[in-house]
Amino acid sequence: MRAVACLLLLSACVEDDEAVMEATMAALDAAVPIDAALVADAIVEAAAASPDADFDWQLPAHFPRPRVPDDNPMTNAKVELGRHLFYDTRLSITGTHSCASCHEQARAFTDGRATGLGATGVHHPRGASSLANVAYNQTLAWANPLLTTLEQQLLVPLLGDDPVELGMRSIPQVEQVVRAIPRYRALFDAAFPGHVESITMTHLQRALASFERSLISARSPYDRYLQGATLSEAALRGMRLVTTDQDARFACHRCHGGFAFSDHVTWEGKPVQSAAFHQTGLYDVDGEGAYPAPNTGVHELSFEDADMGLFRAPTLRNVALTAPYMHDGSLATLEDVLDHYARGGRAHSARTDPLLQPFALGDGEKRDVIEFLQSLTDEALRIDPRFANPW
Amino acid sequence: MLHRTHRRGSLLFTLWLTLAACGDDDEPVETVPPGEQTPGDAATPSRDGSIDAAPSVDPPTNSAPLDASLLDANVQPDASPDAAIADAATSRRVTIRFRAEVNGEPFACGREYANTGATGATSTPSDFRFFVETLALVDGAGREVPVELETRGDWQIPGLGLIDFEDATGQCAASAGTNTELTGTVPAGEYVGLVFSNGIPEALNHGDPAQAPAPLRNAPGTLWSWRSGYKFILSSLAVPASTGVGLIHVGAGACTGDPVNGVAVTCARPNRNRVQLAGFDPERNVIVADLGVVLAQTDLTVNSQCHGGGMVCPSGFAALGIDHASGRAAESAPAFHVE
Repeated sequence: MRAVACLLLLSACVEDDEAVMEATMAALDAAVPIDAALVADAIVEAAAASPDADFDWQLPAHFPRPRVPDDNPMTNAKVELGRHLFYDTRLSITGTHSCASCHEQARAFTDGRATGLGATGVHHPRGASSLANVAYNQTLAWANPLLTTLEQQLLVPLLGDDPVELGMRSIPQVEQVVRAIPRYRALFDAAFPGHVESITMTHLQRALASFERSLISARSPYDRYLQGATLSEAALRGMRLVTTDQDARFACHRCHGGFAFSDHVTWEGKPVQSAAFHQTGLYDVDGEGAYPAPNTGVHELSFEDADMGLFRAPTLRNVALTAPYMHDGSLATLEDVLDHYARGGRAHSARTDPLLQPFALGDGEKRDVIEFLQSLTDEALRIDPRFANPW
Repeated sequence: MLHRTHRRGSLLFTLWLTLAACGDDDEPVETVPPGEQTPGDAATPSRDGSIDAAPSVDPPTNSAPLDASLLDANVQPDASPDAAIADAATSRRVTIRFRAEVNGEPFACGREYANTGATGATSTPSDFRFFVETLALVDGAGREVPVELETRGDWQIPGLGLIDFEDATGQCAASAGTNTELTGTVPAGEYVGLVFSNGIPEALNHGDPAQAPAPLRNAPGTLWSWRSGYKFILSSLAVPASTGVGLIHVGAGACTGDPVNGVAVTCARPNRNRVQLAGFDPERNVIVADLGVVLAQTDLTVNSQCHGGGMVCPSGFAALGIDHASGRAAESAPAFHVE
């Protein structure tokens, strides 16, 4: 892990090949065990990065480097522009809503509602997902294998009309609105230098996506525990139930495992694999495991029976801040969620993931699990000025 | 979960069969379902198979059957000796005109139409637009000759046009302008019919919206980003006396792919029609699209949202000429006729 962290620092900070070599030699001098092949990879990666890729992820050792589209390397200027766009209510048809309306920093970038509420008062069929660590999501939204980049996904809330979220009407309209706001001229020019007209939809997409990718949540008590601090005994008992196979009744980590507490993540260098989706026994409207329309999961897009009720396993990080739960907010509290799983799914059907089986859940165990889940709350994320409203 | 398409009892217009008859051939001619063509016959590889529908039988007295390459605006029609095209070097400019109606009444934003839908509800339309992906005139020998669309403002580029009947008045809100015609050129000659498809070429349909050409980039409300594409046919209407909301969004469905990892998005349900209209002379005739026919069997007093290939509104798909179960072109498209 120390080697990985070292490499992350190398690739994030170096500015040219010479610096890479110096840093590498320094690392070797420090007698840190480093795999030579990994070093070579890091050098190649750093050399390939854009010269203005000056962004520092500030990742702990147990976080891999997020995967970033080749045509949109992270820069501080793009992140800063994206932050302005994220909080700008002028990017809604009513002038009242921004991305942050459904993705509030204090709630780990969710909104506390069962389902999202758009600018014109129309509810989304599903709840707003947390954007904390969204850079790692293999696909975006709850159940959409086609949405694989934030650049592409953000067009849905910005321009979608069924349901209306921000309700902007067209790409030219968005560009017109942004070009009319004086403050953006310098921000776009700084983020995208060398363009006659830097304020374009493509640049807006790239900046917003960059800001969203910057929303790293890695400073919870659990993260500090991994770095040597302590957790309460109850949280540690809960951690064993959630993150290990020690107790066969709990299989949380099978879907909510790894550093992100989700199996629906990817990162730089991770081999490509199919995105995982799960049916967790929430509904059975026809005796055959059907979910009520329109929230039929991946099936809503594919029309395949096999995809009925399949949804992405969201991260458990900051889960104490993101109630209510499930894609439609139909479970109000973490206690409700645990009861749901202890029942093997409130509407267990033939389509439900076989990992969900009824089991006896003691009150003490429930408290332990919830105490552990609360240790995943990143208080620093909630108040970090880098992520706050700049307006 | 699949519904069979309900076909209307009377087929108002047609059809390849009609066109084939013009070729003095009495043999029944079948249309190959678009998806069943030879994969190797890929003269237009970037396009969805649904536009490449061709007769599986080449009537002996007919000229060459429709070849996929004919649908590519950059490819000249095959000038076989018995081709009806006398002089391919002489082009003729044509204007293909469209008109929208609701049960025979002229379409107008904000106007109330009585007796719409399955229950005879009064409704008010708030949108009616569609993209035209392929457009060809049919000559006297039954040959389909592509209309090479010119580039014109927000409305058309070669290979794609947008017909827009709404003018942002009343409850309509998309754009102030309307566009009810497509302009282009065909080889000089006489034409007796017309074929078109509502759709968008696949490469454009799943491309980067911010980099898309004008008809796609500029038209409000056409982007269907959560389905990785655009709506080919859009209409909506309100039913004041109820909570009903009528919504027609036809676009490609059952799409899969992983664009980031280089797996192109493909859609099991093209949801593209193939409207074949006989008796069409661009100098005299207009194509009428009747929204009332689309909605005829839909109960508009309840939420009746027709999302591309979803589980509701098979009758609307049938009226537009799409087999709801497969998403492939149906034999007829009763919502369209020639006047």
